[in-house]
Amino acid sequence: MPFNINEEFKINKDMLNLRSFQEEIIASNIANAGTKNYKARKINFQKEMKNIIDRNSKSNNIHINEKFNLEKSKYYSIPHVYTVKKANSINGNTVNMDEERINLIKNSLKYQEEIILLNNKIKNILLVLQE
Amino acid sequence: MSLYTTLNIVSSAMNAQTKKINTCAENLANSETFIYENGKYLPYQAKKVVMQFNCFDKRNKLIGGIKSKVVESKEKKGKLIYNPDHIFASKDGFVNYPNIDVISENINAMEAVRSYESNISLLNTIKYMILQTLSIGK
Repeated sequence: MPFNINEEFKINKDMLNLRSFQEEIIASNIANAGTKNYKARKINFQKEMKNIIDRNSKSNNIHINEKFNLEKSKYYSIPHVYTVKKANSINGNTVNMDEERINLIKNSLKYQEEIILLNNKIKNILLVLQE
Repeated sequence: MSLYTTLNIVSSAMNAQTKKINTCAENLANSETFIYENGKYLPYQAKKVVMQFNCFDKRNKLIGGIKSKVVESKEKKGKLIYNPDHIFASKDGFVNYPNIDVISENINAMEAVRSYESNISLLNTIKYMILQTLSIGK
């Protein structure tokens, strides 16, 4: 498999984008924890991650033309968001605060993990270049 | 960038909670106040903060912060309390006091403080994440 520096960081970029999107959703939920009739927002993280992995393993720029690839990346940039309908409080709000706080910590740690992985990748490439 | 959108969401929430604490303090301070209007002394009207979901992102309508507004009721209603020694007492001895429940105002303020705290921790996390992002490749 030929080494392509453009393709190399694509998966890291997509994962970081997905994590920051998740962070945005958590922020929205925590901010609206007291808003009447607000329904908690969620994404199917497993499915989105699988999408990213599928896209990065299949799509090689040589196989598909540039226009198609652009459209595809545009389409995938926004993950599908759904709302939690089941209410567990009187005012119709469905945010589970404990869950959101734990998700927040988990998500930020995972974000840092992605950054460390990316840094290691860059270090490896630099090491090879210095040889 | 989406992390900066998150900062906007947090700031809108903190703004809304500050408004809530402000109105609670105002209501508590004025729990026995009268307002002079059109030659009459009317009871002070309790104010409330109404919060509404407000989306920032045009791409995704499901994510957003809070739009908040302070509302005051237009009909000057109060609660009648028996106090014949009061200067505004009617012939029967009742005074039209402002309709403010001190306990529920206190609890509202506590709720706002808790919400503010959780938003602060969220803000710190996001700040740390942005700093981490800036350190990529160092």
